[in-house]
Amino acid sequence: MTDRVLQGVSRVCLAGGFALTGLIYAPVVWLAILSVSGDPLSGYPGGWSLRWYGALAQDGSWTGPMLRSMGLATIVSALCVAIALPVGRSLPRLRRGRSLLAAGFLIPLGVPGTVMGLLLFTFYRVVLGVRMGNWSLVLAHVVLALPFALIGMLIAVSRFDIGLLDAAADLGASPWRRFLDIECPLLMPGIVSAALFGFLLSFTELPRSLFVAGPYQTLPLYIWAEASSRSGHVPLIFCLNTLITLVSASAAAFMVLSLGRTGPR
Amino acid sequence: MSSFLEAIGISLVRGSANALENVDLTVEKGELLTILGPSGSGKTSLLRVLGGFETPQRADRLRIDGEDMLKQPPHRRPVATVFQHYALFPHLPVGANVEYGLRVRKVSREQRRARAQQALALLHLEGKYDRRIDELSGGERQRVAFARALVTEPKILLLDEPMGALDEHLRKALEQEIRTLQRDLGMTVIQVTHGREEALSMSDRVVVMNRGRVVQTGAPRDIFDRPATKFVADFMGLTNVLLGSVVLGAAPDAVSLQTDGGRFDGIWSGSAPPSQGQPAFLAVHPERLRRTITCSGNSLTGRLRGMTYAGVGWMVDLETPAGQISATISRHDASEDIMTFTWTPEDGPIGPVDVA
Repeated sequence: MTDRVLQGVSRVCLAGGFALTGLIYAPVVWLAILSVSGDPLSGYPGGWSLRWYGALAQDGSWTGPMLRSMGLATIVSALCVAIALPVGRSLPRLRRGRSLLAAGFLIPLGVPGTVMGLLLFTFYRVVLGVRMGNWSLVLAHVVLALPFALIGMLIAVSRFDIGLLDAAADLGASPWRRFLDIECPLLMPGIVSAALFGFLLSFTELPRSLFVAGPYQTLPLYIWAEASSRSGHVPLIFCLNTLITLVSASAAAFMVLSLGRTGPR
Repeated sequence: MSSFLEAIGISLVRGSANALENVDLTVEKGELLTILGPSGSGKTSLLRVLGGFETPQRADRLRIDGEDMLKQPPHRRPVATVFQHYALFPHLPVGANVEYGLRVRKVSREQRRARAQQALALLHLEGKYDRRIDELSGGERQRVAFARALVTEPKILLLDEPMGALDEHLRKALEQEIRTLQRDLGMTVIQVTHGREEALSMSDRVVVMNRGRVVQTGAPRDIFDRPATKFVADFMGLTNVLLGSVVLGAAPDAVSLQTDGGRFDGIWSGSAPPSQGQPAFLAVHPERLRRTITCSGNSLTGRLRGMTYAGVGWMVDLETPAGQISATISRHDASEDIMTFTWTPEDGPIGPVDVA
């Protein structure tokens, strides 16, 4: 009897879960549909055409912000790997203060973006005297992405058997070879996810950028500005957003798959 | 003449406890030595010191084939270890695992492959070269770990509880194989185990450890027949232990034990010579007790307290004046509940009671 009730409850939960994913993905699909419609601004699909994509290709104003954002995201991504890898591999080997330090790295997750942006702006600008521009953006984006990158790395590290390094040393491998031959390949899902978190979070970041970008225009800042001002441009934004969503969603899917894959046993 | 491996005066402190306390270990070339002890006795710590994974706080000497090892990191020591859980590289196939030691030594690809195939053949793993590690059974993984260690031709092969994760049947077969391999290749092997049977059946020499110290070293028969301390007697399964005091006899090692339940003759097995009246134990294996009806020589008579069927016979527990003893009998008559057992002095080693 109870079994049946439980089974019913779990079915309802599952259905609810699916409904929620619908709520998440439906707007994306809607956006894509509107981007191939004749008059996207009406809010209703119809009059199918690719002309807005054509117009987007003609219009050159977004390529600058796009390239800038890609460059920025690449730097942030590299920094995330460079920080998350050594921190992630040493955290579990600490004898003391392990959870405290991990918490210290992860707590920024709980600070709202606009608050963090304001804090970074006042502190970097006023106290450290950092000029607002590309480097302040790099800093702000690393602060945002590092906890995520670190979580991905810690998942990979927690599956890694440190005894394997003893085995490699025992067979004659120097510390550097041990790192290259054993640790790197086995931590690769963590490295990939740190890189992708860094790239994607930086590439799509708006609230912190609003404060610390200075004169530097990133792609999200460009889209934000365009969408709210020149209505003639808005249909192009539909197309641009659709393309960006496609690319970053597939990158995210790749990351989730590589992290979620059961490690070799 | 110095030994092939000399580890003299090794002390290792881990946390607040002494993992190793002034341990001496020497091994000759071509010898299979087993370090035997319960968990926490320091046997694995000793192996890790030899491999270079632990640095002893004090060491008078650590030499392999005359070369000082104390300053050498693990990857520069001429030893190879088969780890307890094998520590095979999960991202590499069998062949690449076996070749790894050759790869870091920059051996050419063709030679690497040839030598790996040879090692795999030696361990009956032909055709497994391209397999993934997770496709192998426990026994196969263990063999791959052996092949991987052997292929670098280490001066000493270290085995850390190599049978620990295997079932009884597989263990027996592998014990034989390791022994044969070791003899054929003339290898020097140091094995760590808590299994008394594999220690006795495989080894040239056994070192018994307890609480970070070496308590006895000797041939398997010496350890079993002449346990130097009560701890060793217990660990060897000599479960019948009588306590009393030493009575010296005609010959230096022909001593007797005076107990509340009588006086018994045995052979002194302690490392230091016995002294009159010294507190001591006498240990007899249940299998060495024989049924008798006369009460001459060493004999104990007692009332039957319990009986367990053990396949080849029964294990009986008797209450005797000297304490509880166990023995095995092959036939049993339901009416008897008083039994007498006897044993020869050779089967009853007498040794000093351990000082705590």
